[in-house]
Amino acid sequence: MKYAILVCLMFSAHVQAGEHTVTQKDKKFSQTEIKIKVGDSISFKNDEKDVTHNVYSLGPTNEFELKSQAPGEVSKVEFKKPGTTDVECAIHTGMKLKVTVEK
Amino acid sequence: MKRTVFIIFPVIFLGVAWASSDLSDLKAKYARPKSIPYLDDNKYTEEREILGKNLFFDPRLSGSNSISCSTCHNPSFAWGDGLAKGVGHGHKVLGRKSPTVLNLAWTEKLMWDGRFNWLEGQALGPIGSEAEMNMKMEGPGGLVEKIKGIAGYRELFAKAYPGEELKLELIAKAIAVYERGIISGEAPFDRWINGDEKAISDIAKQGFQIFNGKANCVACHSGWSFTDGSFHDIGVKDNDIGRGKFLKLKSQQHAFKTPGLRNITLRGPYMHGGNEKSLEDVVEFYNRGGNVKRESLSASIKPLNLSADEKKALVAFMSTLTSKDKPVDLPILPR
Repeated sequence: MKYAILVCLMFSAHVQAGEHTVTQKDKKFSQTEIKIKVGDSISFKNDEKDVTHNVYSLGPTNEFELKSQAPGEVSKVEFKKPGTTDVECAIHTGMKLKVTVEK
Repeated sequence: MKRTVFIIFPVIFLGVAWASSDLSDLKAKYARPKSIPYLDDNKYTEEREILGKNLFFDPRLSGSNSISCSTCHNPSFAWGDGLAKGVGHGHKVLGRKSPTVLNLAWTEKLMWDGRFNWLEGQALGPIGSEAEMNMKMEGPGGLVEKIKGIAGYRELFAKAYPGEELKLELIAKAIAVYERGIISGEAPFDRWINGDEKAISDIAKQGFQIFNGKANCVACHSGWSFTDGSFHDIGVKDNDIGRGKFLKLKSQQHAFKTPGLRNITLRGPYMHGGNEKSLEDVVEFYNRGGNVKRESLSASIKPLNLSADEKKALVAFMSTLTSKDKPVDLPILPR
């Protein structure tokens, strides 16, 4: 039993959720695609000098909306379901990011 | 790698000093593009442009046979209609101003509220709208049947899209090819950024710096056509929620697309409802931070505290964005 608990603890340490960062600068995301694992989170950081963004997901999975994000603000989103999610800025519609969440 | 070295002389305008290297970098951001983008599945050919032009100017694309795309997007009015609000089927006044179709080949989200993607996806919208051109689109008596019934169009489609079935999608594609080529010509501003210092006045040069500095118009009106295609509530006081009808986000309530500024002196009245009569009125509107405070108001909209001279300089600068474009030859429509 002791060994079983130890193995479980070791295993859980290895599957710790990953943390990723995507920045917004010059009305662009720092990347156009990102692949993450279920349970991982992405910190969306507005790195602009004076431009506000409104990042949200178009779905079909992991829907979210970050509200208006002023320069310097960071918002963290956990992706709980597998699948792909298209992310855009509602204000600057040329900003596009595809998030692929793998099991 | 070659590097350009700029000799730095400070240029002082209305109390704002800019290094000439900064000014050169700034000018470079407004350089005209070298080519027009077309979609991979709808490339440019002369035959497609000719077909699209005929369709664009043909009132038979409307239910009443009396309204064409060019009724509201008239080249004589810088591809708008010169009215505060468009006029649609049955001479009824529409809810918004007819926007220009100048320089749209680079724009993904179209219409004031961004509900259509690219010109290929937008072209049929106003034709099929009951309020606008009121054309039946599908089935007997619909647009495809009507166009197929005109021998001249059958020939034009066969040349433009050989082997392809004449259907709604193809009509939209042909119109889009024509519209993608509707580009404003070289304006005094372009000649200035290309090195002709006499192309615009000193006060207009001051206005350019205010546009990019104190007034921060560039936050949205950026790039060669002076728009980043973004959607904002700028504080126009009316009940139109704009993009908010399709996107239920706070920032998109009362949000409308940022229009480009090319040929802007020919495009009044201004704003989505034609509320502002002159460019001077527009500058006053922004200087007071819009006409209404509400939750959705863009963070970029706030009082600017511009002096009278600064406001004049801004208008002088915007006036340099108008080109002397060649008159458009109207097509003899196919029968």
